[in-house]
Amino acid sequence: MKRIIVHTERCTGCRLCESICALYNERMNDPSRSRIKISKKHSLGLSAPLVCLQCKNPPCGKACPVNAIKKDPNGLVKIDYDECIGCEACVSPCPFGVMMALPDKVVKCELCGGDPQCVKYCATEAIEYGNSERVIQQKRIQKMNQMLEKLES
Amino acid sequence: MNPIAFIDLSKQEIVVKPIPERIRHLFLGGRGINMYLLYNHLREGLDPLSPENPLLFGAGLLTGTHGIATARFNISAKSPESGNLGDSNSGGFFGPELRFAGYDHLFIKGRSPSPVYLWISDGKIEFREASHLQSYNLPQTLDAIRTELGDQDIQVAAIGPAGRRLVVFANVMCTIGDAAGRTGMGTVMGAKNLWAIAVRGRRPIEIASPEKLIKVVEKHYHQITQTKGYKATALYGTLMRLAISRTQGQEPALNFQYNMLESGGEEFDPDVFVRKYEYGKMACFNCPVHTKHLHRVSSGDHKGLTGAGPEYGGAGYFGSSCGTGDWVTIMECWDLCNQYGLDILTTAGYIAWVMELYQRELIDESVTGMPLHWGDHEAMTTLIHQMGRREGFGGLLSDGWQKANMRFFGEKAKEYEHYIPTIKGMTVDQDTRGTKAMAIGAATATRGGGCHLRSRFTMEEMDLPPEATKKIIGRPVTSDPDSYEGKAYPAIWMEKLCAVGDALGVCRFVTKWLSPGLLGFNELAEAVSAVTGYDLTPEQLMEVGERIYNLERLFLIREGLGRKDDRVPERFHEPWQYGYQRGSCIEREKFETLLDEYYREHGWDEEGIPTRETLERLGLSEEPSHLI
Repeated sequence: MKRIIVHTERCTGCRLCESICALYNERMNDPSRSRIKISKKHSLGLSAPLVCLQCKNPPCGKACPVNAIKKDPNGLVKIDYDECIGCEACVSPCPFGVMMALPDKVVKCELCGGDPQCVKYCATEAIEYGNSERVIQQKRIQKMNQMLEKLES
Repeated sequence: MNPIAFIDLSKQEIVVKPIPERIRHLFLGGRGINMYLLYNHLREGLDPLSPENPLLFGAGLLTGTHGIATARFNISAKSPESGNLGDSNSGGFFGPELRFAGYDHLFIKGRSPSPVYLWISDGKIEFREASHLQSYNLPQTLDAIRTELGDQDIQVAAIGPAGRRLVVFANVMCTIGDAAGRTGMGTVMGAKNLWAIAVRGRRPIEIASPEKLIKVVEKHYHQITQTKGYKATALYGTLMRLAISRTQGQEPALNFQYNMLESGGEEFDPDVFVRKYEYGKMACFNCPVHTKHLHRVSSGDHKGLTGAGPEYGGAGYFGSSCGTGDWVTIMECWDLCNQYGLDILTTAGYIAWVMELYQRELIDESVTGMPLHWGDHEAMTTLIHQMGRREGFGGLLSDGWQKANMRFFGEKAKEYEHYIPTIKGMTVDQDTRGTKAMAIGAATATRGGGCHLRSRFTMEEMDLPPEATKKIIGRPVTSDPDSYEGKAYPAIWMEKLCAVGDALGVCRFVTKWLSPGLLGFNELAEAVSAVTGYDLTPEQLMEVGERIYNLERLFLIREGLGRKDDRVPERFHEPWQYGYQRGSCIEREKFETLLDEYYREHGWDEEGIPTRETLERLGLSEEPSHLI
């Protein structure tokens, strides 16, 4: 499935992804209501985007006592707000810390209906919307080229 | 819109007041409202280190919103460095977080009996003990406060050892790469015993029309990232200027004695820096341009040297101006300034100055205690340590060049003043001999120092045909940078753009200040309308810029400044020796004529005082009006 793929080394930490996410999904100017989160190592100036990776076997779903977090046929992990009781049991099991507990509800990245806005505004392409298979294929090709170059020299 | 907090450090009292609509409309926010407050609350002739000096933090009207690159905020007060208008602007994340924490402006007065820092979170303001931060340098202070308050998303604006020791050019830093550097705002914080301000909040900024804003963001984002220069700006950041200065002969070489550095060599190039030392880039809030470098030295004697930057301020001034092209020296000087919390441009300006005095044998080792040869790594780093610690020869400079000059030359001090290139008491930050619109902008810049951030008609260097400038700024301007003809108008146009940018909190690097394809008054008006619902025309926005500039001018006039202070450094009357603009200089008579034209265009009298009609037109005739 297509998901948000993160290239941490390219992130400049501008947090435009957070702002855009909150504007698009909440119609609010408040990055603390974003589904994507930039974490920072301030002393080195480094940043890392953290966002739901749509796990195949999502720990958040397992932790949910009312079975409100389900995978849809495309593999997208979704919260069913009709079922959700707001207990936040799903928040701490997430290994990436991206089940976001807002004051009024829990939210997670649901890929903006297939057109994730954060990706559109990432100038350095630190976040990409795509298929993991394609990314590893590129890596294999890169590796192969490196090996070929070595052989040639 | 968020209120302003009046914080009295002497009494530990806080009063929160709304900002009147009228003030918003006249001055927007950020630098605009800061200037209103400064003009209204500062007593004429006040000692800048007095507790009464109002220290103002102001986030722009768009700061923290989705208008692109809206990271910036201004710190203003009377400057202990120049004795005049103090105003410094920084990016990073502090400004937006201040607004999320519930305040747009802070008005800080008094002096705390013991060192404190402020902790502002979701509207609540606390005074907290700060003495335990004594042993920390500036980046360590930022980290220590985050750790102490237990939240890594807190933003902090702090001073370092230099600010705590009242070195008059101490800065305020918000991250390892963001500083409000010029005019000694860190010194004012130090004098108030206020060592830092920490902010954190989850209060949304109200948006008048989210639907409209989504469209505006999309349009501006593409406009910015699709200009021709975007890739180079994103790659080199401000170091782009180094390449231009070196090839065009605009280097401040050896304290502006020459316009090209003879030594320095091929290594002194932004490409070399990026290839050898850069390990990453850093951006400010909501900014796709990400100009800030992160450096690391991975081999040699200085292995392990790590930090943010350097920007052109370091490369141009620790580099060319101090006579070196060695990146390691530049990076180490840059890092030391950041650790002590010293303004880089002033620090480098002072080092270059004393090196020239040493070169001319006007001071010797009996005064300096060490040889001060051009570009000497040891001498430069030692001087910075001494300035930051107020020790030894460097310590003489910590109280500013005026006092140091008196110490060196006593009664004859005045005769030697011209060896330090300054405007209105501040060391200059650009050589404008060959670009006359920039020169008039620099000579009249309200915060002194020939400031490139007050007015810099960058298009002057771009060889644009007059029809093109007419389209952009409303009047044709000759493509000859050396010509004086009609150069007052573009300088004033740029003043307005800069003032509006600072009142909105928008970075220069996404506006026409940098490149004509970027955002101008039209685009800024669109963003203001989507965010606030204020339907200002681009012309009205320009008028706000003019109003802010005029109020700053009134401030200077009130402090006794005038035509005599609208000068370029003496040295700029001597011709450039190298490059395609060889021979360029500021000719005295022509400059005076241009200054007359500049005053006329502004609606000021021949002494540079705004006329009654001008003040009435701009709604400033009642100032100080004391509405807040």
